[in-house]
Formats: sequence, C-alpha cells, structure tokens
Amino acid sequence: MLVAEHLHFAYPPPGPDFPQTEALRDVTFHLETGEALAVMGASGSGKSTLCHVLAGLTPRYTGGRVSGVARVAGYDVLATVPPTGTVGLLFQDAATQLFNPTVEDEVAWGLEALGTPPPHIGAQVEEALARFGLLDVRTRSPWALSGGQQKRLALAAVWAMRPRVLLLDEPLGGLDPQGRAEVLAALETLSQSSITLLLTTFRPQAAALAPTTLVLADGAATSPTPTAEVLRDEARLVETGILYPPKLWPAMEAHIVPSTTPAIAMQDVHFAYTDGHAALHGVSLEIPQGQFVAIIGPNGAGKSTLLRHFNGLLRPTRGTVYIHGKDVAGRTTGELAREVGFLFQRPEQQLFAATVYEEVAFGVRALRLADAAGRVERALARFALTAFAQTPPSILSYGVQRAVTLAALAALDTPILALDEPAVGLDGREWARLLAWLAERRAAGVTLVIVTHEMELAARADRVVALADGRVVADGAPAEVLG
Amino acid sequence: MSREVDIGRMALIALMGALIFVLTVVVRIPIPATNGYVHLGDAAITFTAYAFGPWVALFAGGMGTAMADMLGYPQWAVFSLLIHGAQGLAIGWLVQKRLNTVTVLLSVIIGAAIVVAGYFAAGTFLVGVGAATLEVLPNTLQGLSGGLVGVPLYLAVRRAYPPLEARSRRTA
Amino acid sequence: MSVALDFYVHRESWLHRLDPRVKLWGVLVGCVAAFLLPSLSVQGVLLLGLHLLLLGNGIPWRVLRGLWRQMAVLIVLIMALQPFFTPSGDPLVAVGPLRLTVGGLSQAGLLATRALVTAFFIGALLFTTDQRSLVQAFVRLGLPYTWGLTFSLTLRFLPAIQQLFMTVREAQAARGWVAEGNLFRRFREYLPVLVAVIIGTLRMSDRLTLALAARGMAAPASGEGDRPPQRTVWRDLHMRRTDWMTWIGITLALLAVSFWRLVFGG
Repeated sequence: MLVAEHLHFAYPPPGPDFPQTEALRDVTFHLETGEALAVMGASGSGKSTLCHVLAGLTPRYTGGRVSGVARVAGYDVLATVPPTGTVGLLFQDAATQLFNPTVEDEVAWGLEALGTPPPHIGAQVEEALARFGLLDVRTRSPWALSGGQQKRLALAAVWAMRPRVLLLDEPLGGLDPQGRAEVLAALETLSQSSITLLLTTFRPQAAALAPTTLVLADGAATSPTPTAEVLRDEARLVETGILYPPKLWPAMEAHIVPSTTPAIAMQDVHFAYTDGHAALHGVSLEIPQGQFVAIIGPNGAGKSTLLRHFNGLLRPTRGTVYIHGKDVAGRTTGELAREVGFLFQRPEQQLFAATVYEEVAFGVRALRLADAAGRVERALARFALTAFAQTPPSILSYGVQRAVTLAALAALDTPILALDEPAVGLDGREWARLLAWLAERRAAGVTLVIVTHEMELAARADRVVALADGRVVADGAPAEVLG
Repeated sequence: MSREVDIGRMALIALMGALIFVLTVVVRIPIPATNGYVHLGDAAITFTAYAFGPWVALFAGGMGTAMADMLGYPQWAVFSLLIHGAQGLAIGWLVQKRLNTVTVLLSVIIGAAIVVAGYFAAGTFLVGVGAATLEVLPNTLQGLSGGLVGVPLYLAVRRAYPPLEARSRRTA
Repeated sequence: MSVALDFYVHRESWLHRLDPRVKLWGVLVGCVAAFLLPSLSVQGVLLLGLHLLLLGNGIPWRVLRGLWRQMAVLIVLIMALQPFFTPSGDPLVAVGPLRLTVGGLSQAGLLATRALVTAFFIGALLFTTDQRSLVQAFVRLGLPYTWGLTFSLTLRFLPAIQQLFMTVREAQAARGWVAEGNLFRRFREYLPVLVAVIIGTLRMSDRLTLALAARGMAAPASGEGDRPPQRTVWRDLHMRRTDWMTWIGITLALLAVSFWRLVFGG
C-alpha cells in the first residue's frame, strides 16, 4: 500500500552560489494495507520532506532531484499524480492548511474537489465533524479556533475524503499540552481503524500509536523496528537529537546578587486592549534580581500580555511597572530593550537580514551598545554559528534559525530575559541548547521570566506564578503551586 | 490564467493581495506637512511587480487595494481596483525585461503618475473636483512612496532570501 | 484591532435569504439610479428606504451608525469644498474670490448624498450575505472558480498576515527597532520589518500551494494521469420564486428610471 525503496531527494539549491543538500538519503520501507508506521526524527531530519514526497507534492510543486521508488496504493507518485483522495496529508502547520470561511465549509471543500454529489456532502461533513468533536464549532471561522481544534479540523477535512493512505506530519507539533492531549485522543481512534497510516514525530507518545518505527537522522533512515524497542533505547534517541529527558537537564544554579532593588515590580497593573477586551485586572508582582520565575496559566489568561509590559510593548491602562526601580512610563521600548531581552513565539519569523552576522548585529547596533563587533562574534561562537556568519538566515533549517534568534538575543547581554513560550515545538537538541544557555545566564545573575505550558520547565524555576483571567491566582515555590 | 490551474501562482496572488491590503490599512506613517499619512500599500505593489512581474502585480494590486477600500471607502473600490491594477501592470512590465537605472526611474515615475492621475479622475467623478484637487499632493507623495520604499525593499529581499530569484522566473 | 473584512451580520431574514445574485443586481441598479436621478429628494428617499429595509431585516442600528461614522469625514470634506468649485447663481457669502452659492451648495449636497446612497447599497449587500454565498454568486455569474477561490484565500489570510506583521514589528522593537525622524528615515527604517514579513508571506504561500494540491485542487494534468474529477458545489445557489419576483421588480425599476431620465432628464 505504501512503499519507499532507496528513496533519495535533494531540494534545489536556494541560489546559484549555494550547495544542494540531500534531504532524504536511502529511505526504504514497506507498509501493507491497514498497517501503521511512525517516523521519528529531530527537526530538520527530513520528516516533512518524506511526507511531501509520498503525497506526490515534492518535487512536483517544489522542484528538486529525486531518485528511487515511492508507491502509494499502486501509483508511482514520482511519475504521476495519484487520483484525488488517494493520499491524505495532515501538514505540520495546520493553520495554513485551513482556508475556508467556516469549519463545515473546510470539511466540505475536499469533498467538493472529489466531485461528491452535493446531496451526500452534508451527511459526510456531519460524520467527520462528529468523529473529531467539532460539531459545536461548525459555523466558526477555522482561524478563530485553538491550536488543538485546528489540528483536529485539518484531520477531519483530510479524513472526510476517505484517503486510502493517511500521512500525518508532526501531528502534535506546535501544540501546548492540552492541545496535544486532544489530538492524541483523536489519533488513537484512527490508529484502531483499518486505514494505512504513516506519522512523523519526535514525541514518544505519538510514536507509540504505531507498532513499528523508523528513525530518521539527517535524511538517512534506519529500517523499521518495533516501536517499543526504539523507545527503550533512550540513549540513541538523545544522541539523534530527538529527546532530551528532564533527568539530563543541567542544574539551574542560582547566583543571586544581593540587591534591594527588584528587577521587575508591578503595582496593581490593569490592561485593556483597544477593542475593550480586558486582559489584566490588577496584577502586583515583585521579582528580585537573579530570580527565575515561570509564568503558567491557561490560554487567554494574560501571560503574554503581562510579559509585554516589561519592555513597554504594552503600557498599563492603570497601575505602574518598574524595571530596576525606574518607572517604565516615559521610557521607550528602545531604551527598555537595553535592560530586558525578549524572545517571542515562533522567533524564526523575525529574521530579515542578508547574513547571519547582520541579523545578530541588528539589535546591538540599534541600541548603540559598546563593543559591537566583540558582542556579535561571541554570540555567534556561543551558538556555533561562526561558519554561517555570511549565510542568509532565511535559507538555514528551522533549528539553526532558532539558534540565530538566540544568538541575536545573547548579543544584547541584558540583565533581564523575558521568554514567551520558548519551548513550543522544540526537539531534544533544541531543548538542550536552550537549557544550557539559560543555565549559563542564570549563573551570570540574569533575571529570567519564562511563560510556559511545559510543567517540567516550570518545576525548575525558583518560583511559579499562575495566572487566570488576568489575575494572579497562585504564587510560590514550584512544589507549592504545581502540587 | 490558463485553463490549467497554476496553484502556485494562485496562492501567490492571494497572499500578495493580502499583504498589500495589510500594508495599506495597518501602517500609517504620518506626514506632518500635510497632516495626512502615507501607507505602505504602494511599496507592496511595487515589490510585487518587481519580484513577480506584471500579471501577479495586476491582480494582487487591484484586489488588495480594492478590498482595503471596503474598510471605510467602499465607493472607491472599483477605481482602486483599476488604478492599482494598472500601477502593478505598468511597473511590472517596465522592469520585467531589463532592470537598470532608466527602467527603475521610469517605473517609479509612471507608477506614481498612474496613481495621481487615476485618483484625480475618480475623485472628480465621486466627490467633485474640489476634494479631488486637495488630494493631488498627498497622492503624489503616496505614489512616490511606492518606488522609494518598494525598490529598496525588493533589493533587500533578494539579498536576504535568495530563493526569490528562482521564484520570480517561475511566476513572471 | 483586526482587519478581518467581515461585515456579515448573521440573521434569518428575507433579505438574508434573497439570492445574492439578485442582491448584486439590486446594488448595481441602485447605484445607477443614484447617478441618473440627480435630485436631493430622490436620493433622500433612496437613503430612507435603505435604512428601513436594513432595519426591517434585522440589521441593528449600531451597524448602520458605524457606516455613518465611516462616511462622516468624506461628507464633511465634500460639503466644505465642493460649493466653492462649482458656484452658480447668487452668492450667499463672498470672501475674496470664494463665493458660497445656493447652486454650489445643492451641487455639493447631491455629491454627498450620492456617496451615502452608494455606500448603503453596498452595505446592504455585505451585511446580509456571507462570504461563501457572495463568492459563489460571482462564480455562478461567470467568474472562474479559481478567481473566486483566490479572492476567498486573500480574505482568509488577512488576519494571518496582519498578525505576522504585528509580531515582527514587536519583535524588532524589542531589539531596539524604532521608526522616527523624517519621512525618508522612516521609510528606510521600515525595511527590516517589511523584509521579514515578505519572507514569511512567501513561505506561507509555498505551504498554501502544497495544502491546496494535497486536498485535490485540480493539478495540471501530467501526461497520462487521470483527469481530475469535476468539482461539485455543496449548498449551491438556487433562484426561488421570490428571487425571480424581486429580480423582475428591480429590473422594472431600472426601466422606469431610464425612461424618466430619457423623457424628463436632458
């Protein structure tokens, strides 16, 4: 049903002066009807590429050089487009896959493309929505759904077309633990059905849905092995950059400089967006210098809003924010950026420069910091980017791009770091890199404020602050708050 | 578009149209001299024309700006569709074959001229010659901003994102 | 602030159920009438009629007030300027070369009410028609499906690209980016933000291409591959009796206006 034999693939080089790199090297497996296979690999290992080749999208729409055999339901996908609906693909980025005005239109779209007679479409839409628990949001805009709902909708839209083979690219990717649990539950029902399934992931919970697993590392694949066996060999998963279990995490040794001035102080901060939606209702918080604080809470609790007050991206509607004892009112974000370094969600989106060097130097120059060249060189060296200094960041892999964003932040060398969900979608290697750097910063006396859904990360903090509906509902040592 | 659907080009037109819309509506750079503001919609159209040629710019430019008009100035939508479509088409056509100082200058001037003349004609029809005359100066600045921001923007994206050139060749 | 272009007010009313093709015809005829009948009283009646029609079909006053507020600046501009450009008749007030005349004032009044009538006709369509039906109406009137889809895709990605833009601008502000100084400095300072947004947009377009192809957007036939199936339409538009009656009514109105114009206009 699903066959790959000695499959090789290389994307076209990004420009005449750049080398072509192989994304898949000699991938071979055979899946019979109704079987399931998990493909485990770190970010950039070729998981998405494999899915796109098997779905007949690559190289057809992307260009590139392919060799070997890829067959789906008897169709040679490298030579011809299989009939619509043979293969279903759940993309890693579900949001882009959803392009209709309402949830039910989204599911109907694929059925319309299949040429399903209109009187039958309604019932099939209904069935798919019911199966993935989306009936109560059927008239909402897909764009307004939560991450977990978006993934389930994308899954429903693909499943409704009754594909013979279903490819799931990183089905738990980019989700918080709540979303992961939702999608995992939906996938469990699928894996018990008779559909032929291939899923890529770096998470053991997802791999466990399939009886066999192959491991991809830099495009090269192992042969399919029983999943239990693969998961037992933790050392190998760590080595390939897939996992980074908490027991290996570095100690977050505190180095608190005695000081009476708190790094951050908020007094009765209220904030409402211009559309009237109130996000913070009287938050008071004092964070001493050198403390490591994790901010937790459900989506919409006001965590990101709170963080944006530290460098003046948002200004309180009422109340006061002090950074190192000075009121932020009347200080620009540019001035505050010298004291507060900020890492946003999906930081790779902010990259713009023609070279990695320029990218890292941007903030240093904008803030007119002393020893600009030295700062940039050190930051590049710290994240092993010196070799890429003259490369455009846009053509690097996501993993390396994230390293560039960390280097850009490190070069500013700020006494406070505010990180908004830095752990979303990180594989083992990226976790290791982030935690090692945070441990270093902490040893250097830097104050850390991290918004996170990952409780294991929150447990390493000195203090956990829980928000709900714009209010602090718990504040204390991790053991007290996390229970 | 030909009978065979070029999905890549369709997606590109849709997204560049959305980008032109957003940069028209969201960015407002104030001009103290006229008490008005300049938006970056023309810059986005100019970029689209340079990067992807006259046809993508025609459709994305016309559609993006006409939709932007729906937020507050719906009666201008049809005119914006024509004016900015023509702007994209003309700029794209001028620089498609040869990119040198002459074609660049010409594209900037002609792009701005289409905007100024087009909105003056439409304005005479819609709001009378009075209000239309008042808009000539701001429209000149707005039209010129297309080239002044759009051309450096194109050069910067080409440096920062090398795959752009291969894409340009595919879609033009 | 979100720029999502969504004016639809969800209700179950006669006007909501009316076939969008008929509504489009109505808007067209209405705008033509506004131009063919240059009389303040006709425009006034049209405007009043539109308000009653919308209020009677469940559109709350709050929505209409919003449209008035949007039009306010334009109306003031027209009324303040136009009279001086088209003076006719006796001056009421004269300051230097500027003459405020009755003729000029009524000329400006016509332009202003005409702008209002057009805006409310378009509003009547957009408040009562959801996006899917509107696009489907154009497709049934002959617009190729891919064009309709392109338009829907643009609408869909407006909030996504706005969010991308906002995030990039925030992220760069947090690294010390500022846009200040004169216009030309600001232009230059916007480049880093715009470059990042464009790269992000192009990536989104690549992913969207694959997503459309994977879901069965008919691909170019590649040699001997099977012909893609013909698309069907779920919940297609159908002209009912009331739709035809309304269509006939609107057409008669157009004929009446043209006749009036031919005989009495000049």
